[in-house]
Amino acid sequence: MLLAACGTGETDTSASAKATGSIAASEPAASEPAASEPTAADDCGPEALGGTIPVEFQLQWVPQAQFAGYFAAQDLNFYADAGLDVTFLDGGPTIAPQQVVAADDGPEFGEGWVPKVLVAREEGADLVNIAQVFQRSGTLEVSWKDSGITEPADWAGKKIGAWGFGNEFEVLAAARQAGLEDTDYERVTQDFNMELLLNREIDAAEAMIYNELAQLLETEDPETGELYSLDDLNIIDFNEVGSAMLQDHIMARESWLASDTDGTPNEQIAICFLRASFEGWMHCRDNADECVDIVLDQGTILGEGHQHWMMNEINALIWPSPDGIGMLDPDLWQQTVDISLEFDILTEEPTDGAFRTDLAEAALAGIDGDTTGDDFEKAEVEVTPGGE
Amino acid sequence: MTTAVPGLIRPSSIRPRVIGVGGAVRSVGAFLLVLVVLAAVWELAKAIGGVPWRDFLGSPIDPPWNPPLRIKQLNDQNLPHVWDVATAFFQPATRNSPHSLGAILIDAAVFTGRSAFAGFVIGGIFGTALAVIFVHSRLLERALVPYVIASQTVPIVALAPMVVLWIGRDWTSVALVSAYLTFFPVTIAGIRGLASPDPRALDLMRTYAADPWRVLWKVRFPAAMPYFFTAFKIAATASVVGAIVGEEPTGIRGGLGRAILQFNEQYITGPEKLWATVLASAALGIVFFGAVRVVELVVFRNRQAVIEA
Repeated sequence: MLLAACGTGETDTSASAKATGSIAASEPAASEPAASEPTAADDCGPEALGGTIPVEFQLQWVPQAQFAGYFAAQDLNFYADAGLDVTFLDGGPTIAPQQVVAADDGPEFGEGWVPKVLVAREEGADLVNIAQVFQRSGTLEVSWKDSGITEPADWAGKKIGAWGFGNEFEVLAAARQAGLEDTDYERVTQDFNMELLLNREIDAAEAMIYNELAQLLETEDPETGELYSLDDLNIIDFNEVGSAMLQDHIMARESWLASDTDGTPNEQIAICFLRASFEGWMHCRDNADECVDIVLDQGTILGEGHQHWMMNEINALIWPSPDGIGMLDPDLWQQTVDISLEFDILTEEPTDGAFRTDLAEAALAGIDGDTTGDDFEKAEVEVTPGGE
Repeated sequence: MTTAVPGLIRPSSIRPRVIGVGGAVRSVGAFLLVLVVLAAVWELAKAIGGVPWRDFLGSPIDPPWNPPLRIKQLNDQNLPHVWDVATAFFQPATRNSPHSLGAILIDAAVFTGRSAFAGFVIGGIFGTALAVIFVHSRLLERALVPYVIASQTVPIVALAPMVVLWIGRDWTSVALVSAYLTFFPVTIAGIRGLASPDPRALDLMRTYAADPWRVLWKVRFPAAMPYFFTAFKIAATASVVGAIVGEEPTGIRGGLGRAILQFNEQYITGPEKLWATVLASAALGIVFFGAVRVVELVVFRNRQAVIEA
């Protein structure tokens, strides 16, 4: 339905609204005549879009392998071939992508964690999740092996590190699921590093699998001069615990999607942006080393070893994508919403249209190649001292 | 300025001194001496309460030194060895990087220095203009100075993101944040300085029927110069701080602000890099300060006394 609308240059917002926010929308519209099925060649590209269209993309953080697929799409001209001139906007500690993108003249696309974007939406921002790129949460709770912590129930009476700024809820939810009251353990607010754990000031620390865990392994034990190893650590993975929340996804403004740019429907621009981005991620899945080099070109002070580790772990958060990259897992969405409600991050269920899968679906439809990565397996990446 | 009415600079309580080459050498020598003493104290503390030393001058004994105590604040993460910080400048910023950390930090300092300089100039002009207005209007001074003071109690980290929203995500925002920190000392010192001429000199100008502009140029500004230069020196270092702080919410790449952010992220595994960046930031502040000092010496070259910083 949507594609037909795009093809004629008319965007029926009421129709597309109906097609959003429900999983039914991800079912291919059976009534759609096969003839209107677009191919990569004819609905994206400078010709199809009536020229190269400039768009901005707000990243969550400074350049690193967490965004490798997008950098690859830029570097390998996937965006250019799709008819887009993409400008990346770097993130940082005081840059909230959901706030930046929500502004009327803000960037067309942004990258963020689902709960934070839902909060912004509840506060009135008309943001919509158009592609759930990371299928899994990258959040862990890490402890020293000798602490004997192997599951959240073991946190009772212990000092448990958790971040602030809305990054802590997977930890807190895991504790509640294990039957712990919030007072059964001491919650310590951690900075975004592993110092408290290294100094054994806390018993367990929150860590992203692609960042802080690697930093631990890149650190020398001062008493032995050897790097710490995974054998020294117990790791709780919130994907296994069942308190994982959806993280990196691509967002856009509903109002922007409903309008057009110089006669080109913005939904079509979004489809082309997603398609090129997906192709970038597919390339990074199959060519991780090349993508690390592309990322390293973005900044002169990124550690090569660390980015190799990150690239590998990021790939594992994306692949396999059972329904194709960018397709949202409705169960995990609901789990994310439920935890958000339980911890009063949200006061009510997100309104309809908080996510839509039709754009990602249309993007996938134009891609030749393996969009699910069913055979993906994590590689072995050797850590380097200092991540260098 | 050379036509200044003579004898209008009030005798300073600070001993006037003309700086010569010998004085400059002594200054640098004293600076280096303090540096060596600081480094020695630093390493002594680490020798007592740090963690085992490693890879020290290729020592065959491992570890070459094992401190008797373990004090958290003195471990290699919180207080890296001075030689690790010093050598970090000359080593590649990361493995396989063609650039040394020092070269990257110089690039970053030049990048940040440009915004800081723009902020310094904007803040200096704005601050001077405010001071001129206030000196000529007691009403405006009374009405606005409280706001000027209030402006400086707003933490710059709270203000910088707003400036970015208003102005946009480029270096002009950075320069404005920098200017925000620099205008204040100039205004405050300027009010004082422009009001500092001997009342008899002002009376004399009045008997000449000089208009306010002439009084400003021939009496007030010359008398205020020492005050302004003191303020410029404060503003010079503040402009660097402002530029570094301003770089962060703009998400600008390439400056010291970004380097601090990224090395802060890597602090656990490479603390010496953040320390090196801090030193580079401090060096940029010293360069700015020194530049103002040089201009001051040039401006005051015809005066007998140069008031020491």
